[in-house]
Formats: sequence, C-alpha cells, structure tokens
Amino acid sequence: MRREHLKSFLAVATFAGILGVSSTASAFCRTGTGGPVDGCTITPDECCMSGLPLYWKNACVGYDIQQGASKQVSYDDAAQAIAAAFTKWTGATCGTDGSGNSRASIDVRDLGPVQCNQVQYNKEGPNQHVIIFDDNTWPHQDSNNTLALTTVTFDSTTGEIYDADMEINTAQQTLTVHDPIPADGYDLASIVTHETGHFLGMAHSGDTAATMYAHYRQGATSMRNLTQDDVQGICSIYSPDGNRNIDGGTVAEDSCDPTPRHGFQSACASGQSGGCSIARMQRPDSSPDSSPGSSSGSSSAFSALSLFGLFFVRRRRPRRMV
Amino acid sequence: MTKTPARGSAFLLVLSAALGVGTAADASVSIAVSFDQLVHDSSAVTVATATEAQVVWENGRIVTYTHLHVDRAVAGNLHVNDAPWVASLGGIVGTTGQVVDGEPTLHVGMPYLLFLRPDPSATTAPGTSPSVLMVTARAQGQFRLKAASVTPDRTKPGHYLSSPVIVIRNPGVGEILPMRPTGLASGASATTTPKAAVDQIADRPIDDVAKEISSAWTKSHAP
Repeated sequence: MRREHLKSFLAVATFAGILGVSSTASAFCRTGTGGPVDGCTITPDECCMSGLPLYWKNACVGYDIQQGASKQVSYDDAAQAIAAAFTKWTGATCGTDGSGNSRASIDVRDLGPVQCNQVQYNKEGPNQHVIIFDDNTWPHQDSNNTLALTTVTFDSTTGEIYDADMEINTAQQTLTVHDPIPADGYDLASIVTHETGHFLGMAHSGDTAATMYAHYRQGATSMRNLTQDDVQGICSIYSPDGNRNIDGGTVAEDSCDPTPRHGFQSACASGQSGGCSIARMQRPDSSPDSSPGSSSGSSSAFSALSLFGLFFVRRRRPRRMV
Repeated sequence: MTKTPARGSAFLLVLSAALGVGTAADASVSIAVSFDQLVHDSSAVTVATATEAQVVWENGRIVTYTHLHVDRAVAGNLHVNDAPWVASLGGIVGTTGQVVDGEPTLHVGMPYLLFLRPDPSATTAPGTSPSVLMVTARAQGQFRLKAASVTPDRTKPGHYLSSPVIVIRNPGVGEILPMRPTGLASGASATTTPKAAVDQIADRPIDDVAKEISSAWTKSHAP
C-alpha cells in the first residue's frame, strides 16, 4: 500500500470509528486510475487496484436512460430500478460527523430519456451519462457472456470522474424486474445496484457478502441491498461533510449541478477523434506497424525488463485504496 | 501467490500510467465462459509478452492497441516470434483515462497466456493473418504468468519460460456469474454445470495447461 493510501485509510478508519461505523470487515475497494494489478487476487486485505482513487467532485451527478429502454424492460420499470439502485448508494448512512450530516455526500439525479444509444465521452462538447439497453446487437464480441458494462472516464492526474455510461445486454440475455427471478433470467436490480457502485467509483470488494463482491449466485437477490462493507466504501469516498477522500488528502465537493461535463446533449456526439499515447519497450528501429509474423524481439525491451526486475523486490504492492 | 510479482506489477502500473500506457478492466457482470468454449471461440492460444502499446480515441472511446511478442505458440495460427496487435477498450490518452469493465489489461513487459480471436471490426486481406486481434471472452481469456524463479538472462525473449511457470487468474475479469447448468432446456432432471475456464486453468503450471489446450483444440477445431 502506498503511504498516501495508508494515511487516507487510517483517516477514514478513524473517522468511521468516531462515527460508530464498525471498522471490522472493511474490505471495500475503490477503482484506481491504474486499474487492477496483474497477478493479484482480491481478498479482504487486498484490493488489487493501483493509481489514484476515482471520485465525482460534484455534489450531484446526473444520468439518463436511453429513450425506449428495452423490449424486456419498459422505460418506467428501468427508471424505477435504476433510481432505486442509485438511492441505495446515495442514501447510505455514514454516521454523524458532529455537523449534523450523516449521509454520503453524493446525489444522483435522473435527467430523463435521451436519444444517444452509444457509450462515449465528448472531450470538447456536451455529454450525457447514458444507460443503454442493447436490444438488437451487443456491440462487443462477447455477447453470450456479458450482462452489463460500465465505462468510466476520468482525469488520470487527479482521479476525478468526468463521465460514466452503462450498457446492459438485453440482446442475448434475459433480464427481469419482477420476483421471483426465473431460472433462465437475471435480476436487473442486482445487476444495476452492482454497476451503479462502479458508476460512483467503487471497485470489487473482498467481502463475500457485499454488493460489490465480484461473484454473484444466479437467482439471488441479495445484491440489491448494500452491506456494511458497501456503506463503508461509499462513505469513504463521499464523506458526510462534503469532502472527497483522495490520495493523501481531501477535496471539497463542488456545488450541486448534475449537468455533464461540457454541458448536456440528448443526441450522441459525432465524428470524434484525435489524441494518442504510445508506450513501447522496443528497439528504436522497430516499426510499430510491423505486420503479424514478423519478429519483434527487442533486446532493449528485455533489458528494460531486467531493470524492472531490480524494482520487484523494492516496491510494496498497493492494498486497499480509500 | 508470492508477493514479488505483484510488487513488480504495481511498479509497472505506476510507470505505465506515467508513460500513458493503456489501463483498463475494472468490473463487469459476466457469465463465466467454459474452458471448451474459450478454446472453441479462439483462433490462437499463445504465451506472449506485451512489448508496446498505442492508445487512441475512437468515437468517444479510448482503445488500446497492444503489440505482443509470441514467446510460445500453444495452439492455432500464431507462431513463436509473431508480433500481433491486440485491441482492448480503455486506457489513458494525455490526462484522460477510461476504465471499461472486464476488458483485458495487457501491461507492457508482462507475459500472459492469451486466448485470441480476430477483431471483427478490423479489415483483413483474404488469405492473410488478421491484422488486429482481440482477447476471447475479454478478460476471461487473459491469464498472467508467474515464473517460479528468477532467470539468469532476462534479455532473452521468453526468458521466463526456462523456469517453471504458473498461470494466474486475472483480477480484472469482473463479476462472474456461474454458467447456466446444461440440461435445463431439454427438461432433464439432472443438470451439470461445466467448469469455468478460469477455474480449470488458473494456479496450474503452464506446461500442463498447454497440453490440455492442445488436446481440446484438436477436438474443437478438427476440420
């Protein structure tokens, strides 16, 4: 765990203790700008996340549901299920902090139906935080295996979340909003409660009972309801006093404005491009466009690896991020 | 799991972020893919090292293209020293990053066991190898490798294969739902649930896994 993270964790643990929130079983994790750590196994003591923890700076975040929703789930049912899922998180009671505030300091508001049916972030123009039901074609190559995806766009230098979109695969999966859950169906409420946790910056927890635990028993509905671990997690990001706990400190929330970054737009943006980053560990004379079948064995690359090896025994891996 | 590889990974991640290397894969809700399905849906299975990454904006999404060096061909149409590009969603361009649930995350300098398939959105000339590949079943087709011991010559491609190598599960695979039991559709009273690929592959020596893949490949891809 990086020292800054440790400080933050201790601060939150102390805060939680003061507030009467149990400090036991705090297995929650926050999504990091660096993503998951290779070869790491998530446990109650290990987050497997790296980089800066993500957070929404604004006190209010908006979301939109694609107009028409799904053949399987009506717009009204979808709106109700998604609002209920967000409310689980935003209504989390963190305990009192002496100021009379006890609730997680983040509000999420349904801004209504939108035309856009694509996950995208417009760097220079208006956006929408859209929740899409893909009835006709799942736009990814794993339609048989994926039920839902959340894409989060962020500032990699601060961890501030710019945008979040959610896709739900109704093209080839059967979802339901009604109990009991049929044998061949999946509980929409459970799925969206888990995904809205990601929307707000939560990562997978090592607590097997948590909504943010990485495994879900088919037919179960327990993930609809947050556990103490989930509550501790959301409270660790959005303190009742309005601060966001970040890497080594806090950031005060912005005033409530659910408008997406660069403004709101119902339609998708078009023709976006530009920007590129390259990282390589190859010989200077090695072409990045070398065709399949050509050799790219890079002595410099593996020399660099050797150098990295020296650090393997000097760096401590990150653990929980708060 | 020993701590050493993860420590190295943590360092590499920090370095990668500094370099603008793609990072992705947090969590999705996915149904577990079976070992047989993973083999069936792939055009190649390889042990490869990520050597380079290019991260670009494409229609409001960040896409990472990772260049691989094939260190060991396990099955299919890739060979040792081939250098395919693999596309995945998410990454960092400039100061803007994007995390996409359950996408494979290939860190430059790290070795993996990968199940690969052609990227349907990439154009391929008839009779040639596809120019861009994807990881089959997203992060479920990606496994990190861990060498049992430090090898003396790290400058040699695939150096880690000279010592026993263990296949490790991917923490970025996302939320995994159990597979649907077979037999439900036919009304059979007794149902069986196939073993998830990750449970069949992870925490085993690469040599054993490679043999099993080769055997399954022969059955699955028989002409």
